[in-house]
Amino acid sequence: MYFIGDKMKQQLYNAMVELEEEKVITLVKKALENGEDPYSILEVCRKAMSEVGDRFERGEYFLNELVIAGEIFKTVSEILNPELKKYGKRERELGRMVIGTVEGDVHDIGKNIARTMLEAHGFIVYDLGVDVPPEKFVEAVKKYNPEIVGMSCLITSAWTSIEETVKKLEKEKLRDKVRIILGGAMVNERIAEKVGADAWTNDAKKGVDICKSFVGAE
Amino acid sequence: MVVEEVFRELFDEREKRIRDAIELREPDRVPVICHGIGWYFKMVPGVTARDMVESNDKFMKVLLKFMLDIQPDAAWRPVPQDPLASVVVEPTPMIFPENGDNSCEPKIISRETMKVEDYKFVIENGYLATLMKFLPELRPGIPNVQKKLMDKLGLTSDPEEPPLDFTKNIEMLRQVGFPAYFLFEMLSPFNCLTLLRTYPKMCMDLKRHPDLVKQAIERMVPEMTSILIGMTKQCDLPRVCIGVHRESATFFSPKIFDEVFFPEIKSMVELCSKEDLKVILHCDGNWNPLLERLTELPKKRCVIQLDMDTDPFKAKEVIGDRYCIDAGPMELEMATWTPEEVEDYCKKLIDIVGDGGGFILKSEISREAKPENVRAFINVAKTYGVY
Repeated sequence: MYFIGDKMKQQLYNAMVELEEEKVITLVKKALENGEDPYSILEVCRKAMSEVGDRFERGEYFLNELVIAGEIFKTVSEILNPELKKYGKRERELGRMVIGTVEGDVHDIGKNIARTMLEAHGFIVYDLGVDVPPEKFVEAVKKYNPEIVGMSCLITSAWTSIEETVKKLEKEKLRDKVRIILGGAMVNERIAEKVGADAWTNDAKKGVDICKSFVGAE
Repeated sequence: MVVEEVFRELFDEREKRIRDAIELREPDRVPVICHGIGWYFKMVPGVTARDMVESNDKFMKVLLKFMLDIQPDAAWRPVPQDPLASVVVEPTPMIFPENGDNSCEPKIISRETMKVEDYKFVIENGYLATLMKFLPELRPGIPNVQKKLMDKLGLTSDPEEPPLDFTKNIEMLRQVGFPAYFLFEMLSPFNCLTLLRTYPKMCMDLKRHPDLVKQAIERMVPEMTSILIGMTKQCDLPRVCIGVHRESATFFSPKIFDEVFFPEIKSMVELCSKEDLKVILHCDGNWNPLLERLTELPKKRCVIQLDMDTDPFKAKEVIGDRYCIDAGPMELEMATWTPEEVEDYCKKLIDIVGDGGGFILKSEISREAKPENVRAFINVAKTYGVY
C-alpha cells in the first residue's frame, strides 16, 4: 500500500481549496503515476472539500466557489474511479442517502450542492434528479435501502408532493426505516412539521451535519 | 360624479402614490402591491392554470377581478406569460404536458442549451439572433417556431397571427382605476446567459473564460434594453422591471459583481434613465454585501426590490436616501405565517423602511398563499401605513 507524500498531499489540498482546477488535475494524475493509493488521494480531496464548505460557511467563499469545487471534485472522482475499482471496495461509507427535487419543481442548484457536499463527506448519494414523483422516491428507498431521504423544494406549490411522498413511504411501511430531511428556500420548521419530516435546512453545510447526526457520525 | 371620473381619480391617486415613493417623497400612505395573483384564478369559473398563460382574455378577466376585489395600488405584470414570447425575457426551455391536462402549466426545464463555443455567436450576432438559433430547443414541438416568434414580436411583414399588443391590457386596468407597476420583468443579459448555459456551467465559464462572458453581456445590454424600452413606451408606462437574480451574492462573489455584473446593471439603468424610465431592479437573493455598491446608480432612478434574503432594514440604512425600497413578506411567509405575523412584520417595515417615504410594501402571492394573509397585508398598508 502506498501513501501520498506529505508535500504532494499539501500541494493537492491547497490547490483544491484554492480552486486551481488544472493544478489539481495535474497533481492527481501525477500521484497516480507515482503509484499512490487512489483512496488516499480521494481522502485529501474530501478534506479539501470540507474546508471549502467551511469557508462558505464563514462567508469567505460564495456559492459559485462551492460549485467550482464540486466540479473539480467530480473531475477528480472521474480520474480516480477506474483506479479505485482496481483497488476494490474500501471506501469509507458514512451512510446512504436518496436525494431528489420533488415533483412539480425543477430547481437543482441546491440539491446538486448538497449532493456534492454529502459525497465529499463520505455519504453514498443516489440522486433521482428533479421533478421526482413520490413513487420514484419509494422505489429508490426499496432499491437502495438508505438511512436518509432528502427532498429539495424551491416552490411552495411542490409542498403537496413532499407530503404525498411521506404518505407513500408510510403506506409502504418504509417511513420508520429512514430519516427525512427537507432542503431549499421554500421549507421551514412549520412545513417540516406539517409534512412529517425529521429535519429541514437551507444550508448545505448544516445539511451535512444533520445527515451525519442521523447516522451517528457527529 | 360619474363612475369614469371616480376611476380616473383613483388611477391618478394610485399612480401619484407610487411615483412619490419612487421619488423618495412621502405619499399619502405606503403603496401596496401584490407580486402575482396566486390561487385567485380558481375564483373565476372556467379558467384553468393553463389559460392563465395561454389566453390573454382569460388572464385579464382574472386580473381585473383580483384588482377590484383585493385592491392593491397597481398591477404587477398585467400580461400573461405567453408560452412563446416569454422566451425573450426568460430564455428557459419550456414544455407543455402532452396529456391535454389543462390544470398544468408549462414545465420549465434546466438544461445546457448553449455551449461554451456559442459565446462567439452571441458576441457577433446579438441576443435575438441567439434566441432564434436556440428557439427549437427552448420551445420544442412548435412548428415554424422562429417565424411565429418574429410574428409575435412584430418583426415580420407578413404575420400569420397579429403581433403582441398589450396596450389594451393597460387601458382595461386604467378604466377601472389601476396603474400597472410595470409591463413585464426582463431578465438581465447575465441571467439570460446563465439560463442558456445553466448555473454550474456559468460558474466555470466565469472562471475559465471571463472575457467571453463579459463581451457577450456587453453585446446584449443595448439590444435587450432597447426591446424593453420599446415595449414599455408602446404602452406609455413610466417604469421598467429588470430581473437581476443571479447577480446576487447568493450565487456569485462580490468580486465578480464588481468586475462583471455592476457594469451591466449600471449600463441598463442609465439607458433607461435616458429615456426617462424608472427602473425596478428585481433583486432576488442576498444583496446584503452588495448594497454599498448599488449607491453608484443614479439617485431616485431605481426601485430596489428585495426578497427575504436581503435585510430591508439594512437596505434602508445603506441606500434608503438614494432609492425607493420595495419589500415585504414573500412566498414562504405568505403561505405559512398567520395574519397576525404578516401584520406585525409589515408594521415593522412601515415604521422603519417606510420612515420618511421611499418605500413600497410588496408581497409574493403564490398558489399556496393564505387568502387571509393577503387581506391582512393589504389592510395594514391602508390603515397603519398612512403618513
